[in-house]
This record gives sequence, C-alpha cells and structure tokens, in this order.
Amino acid sequence: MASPFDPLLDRVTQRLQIDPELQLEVAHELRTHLEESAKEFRAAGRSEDDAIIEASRALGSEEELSEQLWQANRRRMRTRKIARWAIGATLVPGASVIAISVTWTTLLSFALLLSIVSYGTTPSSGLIGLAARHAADRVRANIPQEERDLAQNEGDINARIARADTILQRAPNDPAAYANYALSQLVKLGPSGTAPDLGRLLTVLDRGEVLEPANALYPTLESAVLFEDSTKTDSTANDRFDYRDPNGSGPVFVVPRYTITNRKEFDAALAAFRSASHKKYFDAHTMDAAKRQLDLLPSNSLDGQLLRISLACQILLPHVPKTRDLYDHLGAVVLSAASENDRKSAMDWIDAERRVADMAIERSDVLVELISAARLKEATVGQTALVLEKLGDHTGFDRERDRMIAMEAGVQPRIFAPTSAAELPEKFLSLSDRYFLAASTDVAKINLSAHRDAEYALFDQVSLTIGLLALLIVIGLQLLIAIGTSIRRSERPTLYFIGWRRVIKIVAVAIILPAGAYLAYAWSPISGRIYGAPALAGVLVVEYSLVGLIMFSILRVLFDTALRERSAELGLDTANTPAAPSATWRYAELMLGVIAFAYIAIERWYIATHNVGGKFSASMGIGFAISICIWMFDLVTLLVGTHTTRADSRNLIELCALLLIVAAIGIGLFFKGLEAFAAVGVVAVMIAIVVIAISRWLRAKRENLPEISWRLAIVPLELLTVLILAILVLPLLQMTERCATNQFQRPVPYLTNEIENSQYHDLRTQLLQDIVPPAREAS
Amino acid sequence: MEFPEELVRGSIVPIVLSLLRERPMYGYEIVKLVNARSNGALEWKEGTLYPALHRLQAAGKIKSQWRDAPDAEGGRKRKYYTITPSGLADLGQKVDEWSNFTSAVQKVLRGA
Repeated sequence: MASPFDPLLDRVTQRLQIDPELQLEVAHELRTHLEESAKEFRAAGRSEDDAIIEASRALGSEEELSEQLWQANRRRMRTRKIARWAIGATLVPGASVIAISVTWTTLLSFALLLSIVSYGTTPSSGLIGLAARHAADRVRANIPQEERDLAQNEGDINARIARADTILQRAPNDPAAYANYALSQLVKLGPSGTAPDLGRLLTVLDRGEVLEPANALYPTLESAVLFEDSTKTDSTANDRFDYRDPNGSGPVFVVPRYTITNRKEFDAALAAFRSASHKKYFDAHTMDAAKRQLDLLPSNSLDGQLLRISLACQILLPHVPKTRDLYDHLGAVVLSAASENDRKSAMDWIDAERRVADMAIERSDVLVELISAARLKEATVGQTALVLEKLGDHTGFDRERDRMIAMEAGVQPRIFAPTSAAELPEKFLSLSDRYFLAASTDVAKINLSAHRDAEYALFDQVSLTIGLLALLIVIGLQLLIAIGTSIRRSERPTLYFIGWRRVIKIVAVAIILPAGAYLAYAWSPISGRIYGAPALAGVLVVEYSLVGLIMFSILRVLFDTALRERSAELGLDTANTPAAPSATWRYAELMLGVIAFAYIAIERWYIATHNVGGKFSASMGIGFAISICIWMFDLVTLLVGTHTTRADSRNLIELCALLLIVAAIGIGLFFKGLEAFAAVGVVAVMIAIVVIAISRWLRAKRENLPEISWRLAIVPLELLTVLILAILVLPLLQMTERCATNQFQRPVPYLTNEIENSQYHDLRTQLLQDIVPPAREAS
Repeated sequence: MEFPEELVRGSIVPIVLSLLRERPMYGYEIVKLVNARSNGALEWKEGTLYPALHRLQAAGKIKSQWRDAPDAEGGRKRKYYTITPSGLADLGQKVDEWSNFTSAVQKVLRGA
C-alpha cells in the first residue's frame, strides 16, 4: 500500500536506517499522523494535492525533524543493536548447543537401552550399535586408565585377549584373571582352530591347572578341545530317542557319533576328562570377573547403569557350549561301550560326567552357567536311558527317559525366562523387568512405580528431544531460506521482533499449557502408565504426536496472528504475511486428531481387557504410521504455514523430498519390512503432500505471488521454544537417572550375589539331590 | 501571536506529560488538543512532537502501545502513549520548575 507521503518519510527517517525495524515503525507513526492531518485538510475543503502539501508543511523542516529523530532514538538504536547482537551471540548457539547436547545424550542412552533389551549385548553394527558403543565408551572414560581394560567386553577377539593379558600381567597369580585370559583364548580357538592355536591353548590350560590344581575347569576344557580336534562327526548315524517335553512339543535327545581321526589326541582327551572328574571343584570364576567389571562402573549416571546391565548380560561364558559339545563326545564313548555290552565302563564314564556336572552345579555363580550345568546332568540321564535300551532294559529306559523329562520340567521354565508369561502378566512387561524379576516373584506385591517413572521419563525424554530436533531442523531450514533469499535479492532481510507480550503469550499458550496438560494427564490414572512402557509404546507415540500437533497448530495460529499484527504496526502490506489456514487444511488436521484419539482409545481398551500389551505389535505399526503422518503434517504446517508465496511452495517440495528420503531410510532400518502396511501408508501420505505442494506452487506461480519470506521473524521465538523444551527435558533426565540408579542397581539374578538366597538355591539343591537321583542307585 | 521556538520547545515536555496524565493519547491527538486548549496560540510544528515523545519514552517517562484506531478504516493502528509512574513524578517537578521560572521572569520584568 503505497502512500503519497512515502518519499517524505523516507527522507525524514533515512538516518534511522541502521535499525530497519525502528525506521519502519517511526515512519508508520508519522504516516498515520500525516494521513489524519491530510484528511482534516480535505474535510476543510482543500484539494487532494493541497491537503498533502499542507500536511507535509505542518510537520516542519525535514532536515530538522530528521536530526531530532536521530538524536532522540540514537541511544535506543544502540541498545537495540547490542541486544540483537547479544541474542544472536547467545540465544542461537545456546539453544542449539543445549538442544543438541540433550538430544544426543538421550539418544545415546536410548541406543544403549535398545541394545540391552534386544539381545543383552551391544550390537556391533548399525547406527544403534554405533551410538550404544559411543555411550559405553563415554562411561568407561570415567574409569581410571589402568582399570579400563577390565570394563570392556566388546571388540575383536585379539583385542580382548590383549586386554585379558594386560589384566593378568598385573596379577599373575590371580585365579579369576587367569580364567578370564584362558577363556578368551578358548574363544579365539573357535570350532575350527589351527594347530598352533590349539597348542597355545593347551599350554595356557596346563598353566591354569598348575595355578589351580583342584579346579576341574582346565582339564575339562582340555578334554573338550582335544575331542574336537581328534574326531569328525559321523552325520550318517546317531543314537536318539523322541520324547514329549513339558510344553507338549516333541524334541529329540540325540547323541552324535564320531569318527576318530587322531587316536593319540583322543586318548589324551579321555585321560584329561578322567582327571577332571577327580578334581574338587569346577569354577570358571565368571562371577569374580563380572563383579570386578561392574564395580568399576560409575553408578551415578543413566548410561553407567545401562552399561552395568549390558555387561551383566554379556558375561563371557565360552566354556558353556564347549562343555556341552564335550558331553556329546563322552556320550558317544559311553554308547560305544554299551554297544560292546561293557555296562561297567559305560556307567563309569556316566558317573564321571555326573561328578563334573555336579561340581559345575555347585560352583556356578551365574544362572546361565547353572542352567548349562543342569543340561550336562540332564545329558547323563539321557545317556543312561540309551545305554539301558542298548542293553535291552526297556523298563530302565522308560524310567530314565521319564527322569530326564521331569528334570527338564524343573529346569526349563527358568532358562532365560525368569519372567515367563504364566508368572508375570504381560501388562507388567517393562524394559528391564525381564532381567530383574525372579521366577518366583509375586508380581502383585511389587511396587513398580519407581521403575515405571524411569521408563516413562526415558520415553518422554526421547519424544521431547525428537521434538527439539524437529524444531531445530525447521529453524535451520528457515535460516537457510532467509540466507538464500537475501543473497538472491542482494539485501539483508529485516528481522522483526513481535514484542515480549506476544512472545510470553505464545510460549504460555502454545508450549506451557499443552505440555502442562499432558503432564497432568500422564500423572493421572487414566494415562494407563501402570503398564510397562513397551506395552504402551504405540499409544505413547500417538500421544506425543498429538501433543506436538496441538502445540504446532497453536504455534502456527499465534505466530501468524502476531506477524499480521506486527506488520500492521509497521505499516507493511499484510497481504504478504501468512494467511489463515484454509478450511481443507483445518479439516485434515481435525480428522488426523480424531483418528489418533480413536487409536489411543481402542488400543488402551484392548490392552486393558485382553492383557496383551507387549504383543500388540501390529497396532503399534498403525500407531507409528499415524504418528509419522501427524509429524509430517506438523513440520509442513510449521515450516510453511499456508505457503502463500512461491518461495514457500518451492521449499515445501524440497522438504517433502528430504523427508521422503529420511523416512525411506528410517523404514528400511527400523521396520525391516515387517510393518510394510505402515510404510505404504506413510509413503502414500508423503506422495499426497508432494502433489498438493506442487499444485500450490503452480498456483502461486500463476498468481505471481511475491517471494517475501516471513519465516525469519519467528526464528528467535522458535529458539526460545527450543530452550524451554530443553529445560523441560533436563528434570526428566535427572528423574530417569535417579530412578535408574535406584532400580537398575538391584542385583541381577543372573549373577549369584543373590543366588544363595534366592529361588536358585532351591533349583541347585533339586538338581543335586531330588530331581534326578544318581543313575546307579536308580538302576 | 507566535512564540519564539526555544520557548515552545521548552514547554513541550510538561505539556505532553500533563495531557497524558488525563488519558492515553496518540501523537496527532496531542497536537490537536494543544491547539484547541491554547486557542491556536501554541501552534507547534507537528514534527517536533515526535522526537520529544521518543525521548520521553527512552527515558521511561511514557510508554507506547499500538492499538486499533476505533474510527480508522482498514484496521489501521495508532501508537498510543501512556504516562508512567516515573513520568507522573517528573510532571510535578516540571510544573514546579515552570512556575518558578515564569514567576522569576515576571519578577524581573516587573522590576524593569
């Protein structure tokens, strides 16, 4: 809207041009004055031109007014310049650094947690593995350099051996350090080790036996590797029997047959095992090594606690599969004797096996070891059954087979499933319950609230940080567009400030109010947070997305209103400011909200009535699909508003293309084809947005809409939003860490610092006495 | 009767503060009111008002707010000025200063 006074105002306010916003504001104030003055002159009967001349004359000398305005506003301009500089120097990098730092920390913790809940080990590849390893390294950096080797299990086997060797050098006579070193060497040998490797390992095992003459570990392992090296599996024949296990399925008990390829080594293997069976104990010192590792880790951080769990789950147990293979070889020896009707020899070998198994049961500090030892003992019962069958004692065979089934019934439910569905309702499933709750725990009596707080705080952190990242991306894009626009026009864009009152209003209404409302909802019983976080994962992502949608919608409306108001104050043409959203856009937003609410309601009802939270993965896919749609909508809405300019529409297309690529990578990485329907839905929505964007860009071009971008004006406000969100994340971070410190520090049942006083004590007693009486007595 | 410019300029601050004590006003309204109340005797060069308003605002004596003009077309906004507590305190001092000054000048003139 050009005014006849503009040339005069340009001259009068020229000296204020170092502060373009102030120049505009002063010019607009004078313009309103001149227009009212001219209006009065016209009302008094002056012509249009005369009225303009008279109004201008009444204003006084141009030079004098220009000088006076400069003098009156000089200090103000200087202050505003310093304030702008200070905001630019502190707010932009400050908000970015805080947001990125909080986001990075949370994502690292989440990666570590994901790696733990997946397999109990830190994955070696992929982005999650990379982030989890980085998080673990960050924790280990707090451990003194000389102790750091002890607190690391991952990596190349040669590096692990080198670390084990370093630890051993510091304490050459320490049985735990030596066992750690020997077991590392055992891992290196693998199933197809070379002769030099075997020779080196045998030397290491011999030295171990010298260090601990009463420990059956070293001769047992020596026997295992010698058997492995001196035989070849005969795949054409084996001894077996079918049976029905406690779950009703029909597994097979198999003893493979072997062809001896090196008689001398084979005899040495038999001698080594015979020697092992006369030792006093079997101890791999796993618990000692594990406890030393865990004691080194700092306990005052979330990552530290998560790494503690990770290490507890990663305990080095290479002797477990080795001894299992050994018992297959020994079974073949036993059945070979039985085939020759040499009952005494067969039973002698079984007796030796049982003695070693019992020793392993007595000293197994780690549950996995204990279960493995039980399996060894179970194998001796199965072998006994096969021996009796070969000797024609079918009654004895039935009896021993039934004993083996009974033993399996006593042991199997506890293998890797201390929280089986029968004992622990899945609605209580949580991120780490499966690692901490014992089989016999009465879940109803456990107060899980602190644990839940930690889980949900972690989820809330992750969602907030994703929100921060999204905002940062939007801000970055806006800045880039503004820079591009200024380069294209060869002029610096003006940064408008919408005023503190509006800033406070926007922050209060768009950020604090929805976040506070969600906080109240989350704390109330209707949020369903009594269930474990994984059970509600689908609902949570939709809830977060809905809150984001509400925040972004309010932000957009308030931003647009503020910009329109401010542009009116500055006397700018409001036609170029973002227009109100179209009715179609609003309906689409509303429909998305309704779908999301419906999903939450149905999912929550289903979880509550069917008690199957953790298994509802299909609907979780739908939840993710809805959430991705909402976030796409949010991003596009916040970034481009109703995109009334060509630059906006062009940018929308670029954004969609970028999101398409990111989403494709994300879907490939995380959904892995299992949630194909979700991927199809997301891609369809993205294509629709691209089509809408292109059509709008064409319309904008056809109607020759201007390229003015208003986005830069809201950047400082968005940065403030980022800061506020980051501040919201910080207490959640502390809460998670506090809860994690309290909850995750509970002893892990896999480790036996509790084993003597827990239900595993009963299991051990049963294994040694009740479940399977010695075969000789039975027979 | 036209007063010397220095005299007019010196009276702007107490007059503006005094008018704003009554109610929030915008620039043109202040000019019109001064003209009306002085029966045209104080005919300001309108441009001199705005630097004075900006100085007073920078000094914290008055504050401004853009508001919709009730009688204006097309949602035009006007910048309204409001006196602050600091401005009110200053007003009393300015009025005293002005009274003392005019009284002193009168005494001198009578003596002459």
